[in-house]
Amino acid sequence: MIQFQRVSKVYSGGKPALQNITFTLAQGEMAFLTGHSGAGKSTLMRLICGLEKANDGKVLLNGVDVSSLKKNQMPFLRRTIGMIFQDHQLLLDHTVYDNVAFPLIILGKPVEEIKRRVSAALDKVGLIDKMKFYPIQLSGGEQQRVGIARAIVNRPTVLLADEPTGNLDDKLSKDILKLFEEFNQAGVTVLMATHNMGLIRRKHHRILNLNQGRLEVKS
Amino acid sequence: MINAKVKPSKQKNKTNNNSFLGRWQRQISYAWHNVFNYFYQNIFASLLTILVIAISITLPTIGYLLLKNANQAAEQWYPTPNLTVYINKTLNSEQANDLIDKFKAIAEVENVTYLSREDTREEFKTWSGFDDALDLLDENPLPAVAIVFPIEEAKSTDKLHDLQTQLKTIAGVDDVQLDDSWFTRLTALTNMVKSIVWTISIFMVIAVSLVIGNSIRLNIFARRQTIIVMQLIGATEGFILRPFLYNGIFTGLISAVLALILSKVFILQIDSTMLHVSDVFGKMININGLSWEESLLIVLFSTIIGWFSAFIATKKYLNKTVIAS
Repeated sequence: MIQFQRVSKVYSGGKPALQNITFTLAQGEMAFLTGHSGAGKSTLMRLICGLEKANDGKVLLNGVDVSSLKKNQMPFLRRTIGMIFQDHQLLLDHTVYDNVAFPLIILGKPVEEIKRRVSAALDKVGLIDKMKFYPIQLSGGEQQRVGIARAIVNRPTVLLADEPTGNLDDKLSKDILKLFEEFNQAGVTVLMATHNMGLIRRKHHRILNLNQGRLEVKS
Repeated sequence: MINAKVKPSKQKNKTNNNSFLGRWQRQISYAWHNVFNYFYQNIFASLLTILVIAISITLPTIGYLLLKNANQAAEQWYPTPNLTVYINKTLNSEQANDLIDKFKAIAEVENVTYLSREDTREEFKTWSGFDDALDLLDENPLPAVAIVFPIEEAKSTDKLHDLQTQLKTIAGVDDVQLDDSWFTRLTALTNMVKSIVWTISIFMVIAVSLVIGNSIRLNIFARRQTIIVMQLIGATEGFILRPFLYNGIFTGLISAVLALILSKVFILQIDSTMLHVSDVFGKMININGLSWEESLLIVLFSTIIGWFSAFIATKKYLNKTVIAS
């Protein structure tokens, strides 16, 4: 569950990035975060996972106030979130398998369990036959799917995707979106930021539209 | 039947695997794995760093060894410092013996050798060659002499001087002479060498810290993308720090071991030259190497420096980085 209560964020020396944002995303809900470039989509995402701190208001994730968490508590918050980035943040000197296994290694899971869960995650995104490859050997869409596999390998309750289809063509974008809908059907809360209105036009999920840092709710 | 037996044990194994200890063990082995991986991937640079550190540790170690051996040699070769007490000529032998007992009673005195007036006369005759001249005199002009040997703890310039004044106050003592010129010089010399060794050691410790810190910084720079990703997916600071700290420990440890080997090589090399020196001087000279305790101390110290400089370097980096995505 994600809850914003009158959240404002101002970057030092700049104009406000987010102003008075209030919304609630229920457990198991899926929503799109839209808006033009610079509308504050990334800032909103970064607030949820504690990469930025709100100047005003409260950001609650599963009932925990993110902005009140101390620096040493942040890692434990991030473990409950699956994050997907536009530039996928993969380790180029590690294989696909190692990249996906990373969150589990951090948790100190046994090798057999890692093997099992990484295989399951890669199977889900359709890359089971490419786990020995390096990210550089994969296409853009495949790289993004590795990022998704890494985000879901630890079975998070919340999935945040910041422009996951930003660099992909329509066909690949649709595939990725379909994956997210599958996760959502399995009970995961999904928030996906995108500026590709064409992609989500015929979807019936909630749309949170940001305009100049203000929220306009459509449905 | 067999299946039924195997199943519970397997399950038990599984819970063990997820226990705190198991998790901890795997995280640590992962960190060490990382260290060795990085070492092999950058074998040339890593070895170069270790060599630089090893040499930096070897120099003060050799300085220390020289100092230690010089001290030992000084103790072996030089006579123990002693005080010559001239006893009043009016004292008879009984009174003189009482006086000797008084000397012996002083806490700082180890031993006293008494030479009566006749003894000194004999000694003078045999050593000076003026035996005929002495015979011309009616009376023996030489006083009785007591040679006072101080205990080990009192063998410093200050304490010897204190002892000298103390002896002078005793009735029946004419004069006390202290021949400590060589002793003062030796002490001054060893003190100078000691302070030089200390200064070099401090500089070398700083150099070692900087070299290790720098190599860790390079390591961090090479892995900064990994650090960002680790932070993003919820690695604790401890988890991120660990491989770098272990790298510092590893570098410090291996360098210290290499430094000990280099010092040993130095000792062996000096020993062979010393054999020649011994022949010339007609005295056996032994060069003592490092004892086990000293070796252990060097290894421990270097390891701690490695850990500490890695900690400072990594912590400083982690504190200033803001995750960019």
